[in-house]
Amino acid sequence: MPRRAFLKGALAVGAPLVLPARVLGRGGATAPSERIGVAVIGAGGRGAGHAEALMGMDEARVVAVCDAFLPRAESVCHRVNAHYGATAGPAAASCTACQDFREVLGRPDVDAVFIATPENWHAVMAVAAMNRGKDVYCEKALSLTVAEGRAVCDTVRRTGRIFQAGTQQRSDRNFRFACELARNGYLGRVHTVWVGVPGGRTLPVLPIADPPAGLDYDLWLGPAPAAPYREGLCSFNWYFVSDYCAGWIQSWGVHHVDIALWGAPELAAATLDVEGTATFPEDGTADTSVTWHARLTAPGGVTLDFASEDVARHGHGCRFEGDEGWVHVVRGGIQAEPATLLRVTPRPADTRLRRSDHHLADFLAGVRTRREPVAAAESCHQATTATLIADMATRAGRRLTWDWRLERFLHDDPCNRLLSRALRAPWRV
Amino acid sequence: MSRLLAAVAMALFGGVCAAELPAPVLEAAEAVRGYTGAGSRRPLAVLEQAVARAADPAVRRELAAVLAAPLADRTLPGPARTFLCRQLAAIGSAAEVPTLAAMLDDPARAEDARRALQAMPDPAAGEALRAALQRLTGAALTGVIHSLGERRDAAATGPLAAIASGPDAAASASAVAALGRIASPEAAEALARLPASPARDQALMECADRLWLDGRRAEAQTLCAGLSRTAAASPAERLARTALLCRVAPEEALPVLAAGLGDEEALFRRACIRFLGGLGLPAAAQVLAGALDRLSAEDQVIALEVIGQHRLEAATDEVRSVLASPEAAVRAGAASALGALGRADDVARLLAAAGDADAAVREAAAEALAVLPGEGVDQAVLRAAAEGPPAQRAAALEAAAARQSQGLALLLDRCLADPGDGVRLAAIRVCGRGGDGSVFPRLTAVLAAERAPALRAEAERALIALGRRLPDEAARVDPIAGALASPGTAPEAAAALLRVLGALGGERALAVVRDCAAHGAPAIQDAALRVLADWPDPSAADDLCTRAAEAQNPVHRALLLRGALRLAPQTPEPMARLERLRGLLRGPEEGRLWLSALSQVSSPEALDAALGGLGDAEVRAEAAAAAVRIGAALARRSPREVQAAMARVAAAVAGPQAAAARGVAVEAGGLEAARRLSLEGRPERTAALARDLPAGWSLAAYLDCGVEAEVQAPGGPSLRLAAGQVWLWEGAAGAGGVEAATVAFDPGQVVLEVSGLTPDRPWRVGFTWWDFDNNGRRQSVWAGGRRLMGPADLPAWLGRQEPPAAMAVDLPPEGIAGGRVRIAFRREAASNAVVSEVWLASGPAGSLAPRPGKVAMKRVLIITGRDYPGHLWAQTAPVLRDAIAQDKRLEVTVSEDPLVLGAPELPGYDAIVLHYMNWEDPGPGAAAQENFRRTIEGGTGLVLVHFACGAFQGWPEFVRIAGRVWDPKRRGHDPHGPFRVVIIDRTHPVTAAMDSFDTTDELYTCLAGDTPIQILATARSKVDGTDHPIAFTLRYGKGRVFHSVLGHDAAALANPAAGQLFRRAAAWAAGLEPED
Repeated sequence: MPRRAFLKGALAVGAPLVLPARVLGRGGATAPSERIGVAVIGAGGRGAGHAEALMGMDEARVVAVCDAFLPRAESVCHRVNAHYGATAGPAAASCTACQDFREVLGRPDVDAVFIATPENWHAVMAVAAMNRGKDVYCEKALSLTVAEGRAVCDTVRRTGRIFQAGTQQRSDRNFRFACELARNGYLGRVHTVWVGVPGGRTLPVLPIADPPAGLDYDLWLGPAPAAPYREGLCSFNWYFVSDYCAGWIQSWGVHHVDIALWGAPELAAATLDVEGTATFPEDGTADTSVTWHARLTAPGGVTLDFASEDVARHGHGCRFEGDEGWVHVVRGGIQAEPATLLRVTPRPADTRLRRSDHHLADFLAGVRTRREPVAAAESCHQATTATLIADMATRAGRRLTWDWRLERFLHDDPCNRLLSRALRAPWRV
Repeated sequence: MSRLLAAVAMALFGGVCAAELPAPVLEAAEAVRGYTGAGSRRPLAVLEQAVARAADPAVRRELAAVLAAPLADRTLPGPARTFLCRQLAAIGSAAEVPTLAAMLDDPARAEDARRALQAMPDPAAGEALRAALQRLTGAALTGVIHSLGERRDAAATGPLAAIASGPDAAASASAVAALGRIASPEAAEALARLPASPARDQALMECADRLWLDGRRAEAQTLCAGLSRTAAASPAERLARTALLCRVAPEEALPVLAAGLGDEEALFRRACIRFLGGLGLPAAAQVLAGALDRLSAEDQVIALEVIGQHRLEAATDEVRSVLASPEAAVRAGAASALGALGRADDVARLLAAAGDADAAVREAAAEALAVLPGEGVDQAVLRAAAEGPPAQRAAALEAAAARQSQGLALLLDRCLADPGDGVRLAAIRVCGRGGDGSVFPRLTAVLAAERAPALRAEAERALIALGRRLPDEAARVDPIAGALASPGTAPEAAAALLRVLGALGGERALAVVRDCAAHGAPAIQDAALRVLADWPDPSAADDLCTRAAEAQNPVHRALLLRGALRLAPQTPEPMARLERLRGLLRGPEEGRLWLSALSQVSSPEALDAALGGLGDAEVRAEAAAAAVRIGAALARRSPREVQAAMARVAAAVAGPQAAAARGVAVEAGGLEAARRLSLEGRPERTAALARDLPAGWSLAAYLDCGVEAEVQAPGGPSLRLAAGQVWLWEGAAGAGGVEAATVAFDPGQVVLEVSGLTPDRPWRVGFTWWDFDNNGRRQSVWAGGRRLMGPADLPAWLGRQEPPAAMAVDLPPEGIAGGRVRIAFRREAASNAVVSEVWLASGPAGSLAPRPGKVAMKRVLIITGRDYPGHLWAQTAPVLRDAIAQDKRLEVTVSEDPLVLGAPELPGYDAIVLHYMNWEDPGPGAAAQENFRRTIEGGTGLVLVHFACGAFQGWPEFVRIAGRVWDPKRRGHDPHGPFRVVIIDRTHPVTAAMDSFDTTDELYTCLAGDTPIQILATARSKVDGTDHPIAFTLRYGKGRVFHSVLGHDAAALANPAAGQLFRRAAAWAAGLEPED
């Protein structure tokens, strides 16, 4: 079997990894006083994965797990305590489970929070955490709306906190290398970035029911509008309901769109002309796009062609195409034409992107050394915004012009009204 | 898009009178009045699209009026109201404000109305919200305050200030935050008048930040100055204030940051270092430089990063001085920083650092040398490479290459002839990495003349890398041909040159190699023939055929024949060549090789030829494998022929190969073939299921979903599909078997009705399910309204390579009524629920729960269910089970759920056979691992099979249990192939009766660990020539542990000797004396 696969596998699920000590700039073991206390908020697949990965990292200690569905928090918490109990003695098995994230924001032993909830919660939780002096790792997409994303970025600036977004492809050598090829002219002039990601899903009408015991449904809804509980809504299916997420055009799209903007920053420099088409569910609980094809063009002529992979010209992945070649990158693979591009040794004058080979370690090092992580809030805000304006253009069915400086559409007030949504009281950002 | 939606779009934008809304929209608006959330969402989708697409003001007005109309009705269902208000947020205007404002007074409706009003830019919306401030309380008031803040409604400043200093604590906190967001000078004043509190200070900081962004810098600075008159309430607030000060008043921030460098709180200190870098003041660089040697090592690393990142040149001298720090991390940081700041006279320093004892420092220095800016750096590097201290010349040369310095070519030429091995090696490496065509002849000459084997090997690699970059065939072949013709070239060098030609390939190179094979000295001929046998492209196919026929030397003949067979399928007429080669074959081993070559030819003739081999017992397995592979390639082109051929294969062989043949037949024949094959294979399938049942249990009914809708066992229970449609997954039969490829599916739940269950015995339902298309399926199992299992994720094939899962759950007797029960497979995620097979098993009459047999049998548990995708555990586990179960004293159970490691009953087994690896999966968890560890420690035996040596990467205790573990940093294993297992210990009970044997398997060469072990068998690697342990034993606590790395695939485990080894090992581990 390929040996490399161990590492790949570990990264894919966030399993424990042995980190080189020099990532942290010193020799290995961590003094208890320097260990970063972490609370995981949202104990679904991602949250549990983060907890699992953090357990294998000596410089962090998971001290709390939160979920509106308490049994889920308890189950992850149980695993955490079993691990620490076995490896660091019974005193270390002191992780607690809770339902309301506000409880952990008041705890002095929590230095950082990992937010792995649906998108409607991201900004509210991130802003509240930073205002309470916590550093934040927040799953992608950054926010449900452009305005909420702006609020997150402003709060990072105002509080001086460390913030890492969950766009973890930035910590993958292949993605970084592809972006460096694009930025340093190895592809000639880059004219198109092709992005394809999995399309959305339709859902049946999920039946209205009583929330299961242990779920504080009102807390699960949080800033989203009041709505009856539906069977199956609170795990996975929420991705496709616009009250909680703008769909996979946003939540999956942001991964490769982030890479597109990293490798072709001129896409986010001034303005973008945006147009596109999409299909939407005609019935059922889902109301986000199923397939889409959008084109976002910057003034210099660079185009981001962003589509669901069944209609994407080059299928899944992110492809930078220039007039002298292309590079196509996906998780676990990279291709180029000509293939010799993959053997390029960078020139001294080349722009080098920040090197991070482990997304969580990069964040924890940031917490310790106050260095801005590789997936800073502004970067994920731009990527999230690009997916949201693509979504709006397909819904409006007309060509829009986006101004990055104003963070508004030019000459389209109807669409500007969609850039923010009022949050259900008492929640605010 | 539906026709309905298309009609809406057409009507709205087709140029008809814009203000007249199309009928479907009006109908949808009417239908929405009855929307309670339970029914269809279709009308909502119509309205959403109408709203999103409405750009014309007249259409928007009309549409908003239609959407607002139902809101006057207090009895409107909540979901309808929420929906309509969300649309009004997008489209409403002044005309809708009164309707929404009226709703603010009704607590049940206020929230929806308020959210719409917040989004409406019309000033009337703001007025309505402000007016509501006076009369609302509680949550409704909080919401309105937030909305005014979000609108940055300056006119609300006065009322909000009053609320902020009022008695209602919740409203006051909201008003403070809202004033911070409004951030007008008046709002700031109002905030400043309030008593200090963390919330107020936070609002004031937001004010200052926003005023600064709005260009009102003086006001921002005043606010900031006011704030710093009081002490910060918390470390977080201190950090936030400092961040604000840096932005708003950098000059004033400088002393704060300078003092912060000595702060006790590490995070604040480090933040100050970062802020200093971003301040953009020359004085900041001086502060940092002056403090550098006082900082702790860890803070120095941060400061050096900041100095490099912001190119703070004022700190250059201090950076140079810490390059001599005793801390390696500081030296590395200093080297990196010098890379950004340094000059030509730093080259010597960095070259010295490039020879540092610490690898991180060496790497940082090399990178710094590659990017060091400034004049004269290239010359300094070249000079050091040419005449510097011997220890630094190689590093300098590498640096010059990385910099692509002018004059590098000349220097390389000299270094290639240097007397020092280190310099020569660096020069060769640089050529391979970055050289161009002009270096190729020179490098060829170096290889031809080089005496040191290590350098020769490096030169060979470099020539291959360089040659692959040269487009011109003559340019890469002719220099080598010249060197080969030269009498001064030593035989070892000639062999290396020939290997270079072999790696490069092509007609011209082939001609040279051919010539050497015919006319060279014996050593050269031998080397040339070996290169020929490995030739990368089919141009050598004819040569190889001819030479294989003529070869006298048996080694050459074997190599050439293999090469010919390898290349034949890639040629334009593969069958003609293969027929020719067939005449040369000697013995069954070569017959098998021939069939393996044949399997790569996708033609009906090849299929016939493969079928022809089925009659010969010695090559039957390879013939079947070839036929299946060819059949799979031809399935779509010649379905009829392939189906017939696969039937012959399935009849001739058994087990996995027959299953694979059936899979291909399904591929060719679709659902029809699947049905036929499922029925044909029924006896075998049900027998296999029955075999897996515990003693005393029997299979009572079996239904293959997708093939049949109902089965009635004579005198027994019946199974009927009550909800579910039929589907065949294309391509699935080959991966998971015919039965798993056909499924019943349903958007909600697949339901089976069971009847005829007698109450006198326990019943169990078994099933297989599979998320073949990786849809993200997650399902639960219900019976009689009770949940029996789940929700659980189904194994997915596409992209994950997980085979179908077979599971069984007991039917609770209380769920069975009148002998009947409904079993449901419910969708919990993804687009629908699926199930592949369902069966019923009954336990012994009179017993209510299954019990293990009372005979003095030893219980063995095989744990599998997860592995690296190349390890088809679903195929290997049954072979392993059958091999072990031949010992009738062992009762063998297979669990496909690794979570069983955490089960409390684990210590009840006498031995555990671990045939599992936690591939891309966090594993069963620390608690389960501990349970497993304690079980072995307590005396249960353990047998580890093949990749179980890698089962728990990252669990340090595992190496003490397993003796040796997979080390991913070492070379994994020899290529899959034949080798001899030598039994070296015949005194041990496991191997006492065993002879050495041959097998075809993976020979693992990467085991690591220093736990004492007793080696029973070894094998010699063809790659590194050393012996590696193949089987060994140890003790863990009271547990006997046997570990063997044999067993890569079903064929390897089917080797009787391997089976015997594991059978004896299982018996021994369970505490018995092994018997055959």
